Amino acid sequence: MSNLCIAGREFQSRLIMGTGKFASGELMATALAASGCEMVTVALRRADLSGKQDRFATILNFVDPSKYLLLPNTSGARTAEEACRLARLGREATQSSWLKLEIHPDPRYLLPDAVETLKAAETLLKEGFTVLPYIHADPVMAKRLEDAGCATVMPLGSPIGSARGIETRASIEIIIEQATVPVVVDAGLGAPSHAAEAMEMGADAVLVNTAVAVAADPVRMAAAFKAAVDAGRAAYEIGLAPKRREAEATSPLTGFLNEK
Amino acid sequence: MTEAPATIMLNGKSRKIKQPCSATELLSELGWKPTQVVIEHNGQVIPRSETGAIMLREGDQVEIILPVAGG
Repeated sequence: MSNLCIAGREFQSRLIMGTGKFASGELMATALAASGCEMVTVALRRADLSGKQDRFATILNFVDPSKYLLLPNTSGARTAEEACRLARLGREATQSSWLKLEIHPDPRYLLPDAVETLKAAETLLKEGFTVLPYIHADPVMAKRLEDAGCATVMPLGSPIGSARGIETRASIEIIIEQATVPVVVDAGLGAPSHAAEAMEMGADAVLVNTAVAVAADPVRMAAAFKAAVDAGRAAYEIGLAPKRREAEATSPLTGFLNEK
Repeated sequence: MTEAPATIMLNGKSRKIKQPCSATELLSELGWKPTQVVIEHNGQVIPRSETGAIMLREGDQVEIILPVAGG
């Protein structure tokens, strides 16, 4: 299977994992290992100053930056300005200039703000960030971000954490057809079959978090997603059988018992 | 003679700190190591290597941020 190449860096795994919502750091670390992923997202928040550090306080103790490429995100940003601020903090905090740029002002659907995202991307690219933007499945927006110099485009399948799968299929197909940077389907993938579908369509990678983190057994679910991503990619590289409107017999059409 | 304490805005809340006080001293008082967090001082991200050199003054805006689990 071919490697994934983003901004000149090669990855064997086409599954990118989010680190949110796991019941414990240990469970997250085991699930990440089972997923085979090489890149993981992290968020940035204010430190707890009450003296009692919460369970997320030491996430970098559970994610070894020499093993995983850290992708700090800008979740919580509602404007380009807030996203740029988080990006700069994230770079210093993780020592990684790779960035998942996400700007979603509406907490109900967490849909990305295209105008602010493009504005932030242009600023951050000038500052040397490797920008992986989370976007709606909008082929025009994808092109604009690619032209600006983004390393990937990451269209959503359905809203973050919704587990509804790829509801934006037709638009993602156009994005894949036109893109010259890797296309990562991010958000809404609730089942391994959704991840396989994205890969069969020709997506270069998928980003999964909730579906693994909230599973009854996140470690087995991580392995299930890994298998699905590998299967989907293999099928894409091989090429799927053409679709037909009518049946085409798979068994011989001669030698029937009722033949005269 | 000791200097009067200064009031800074720390993670969005007012807080009194002794004077003089470096960013490293503040972190230590709060139970954080400089390697665990990143500091934004009056809108500027402070490189970790420079945390000790940052002296906090009256009216400063300080954010102490860290990477957490997220998607």
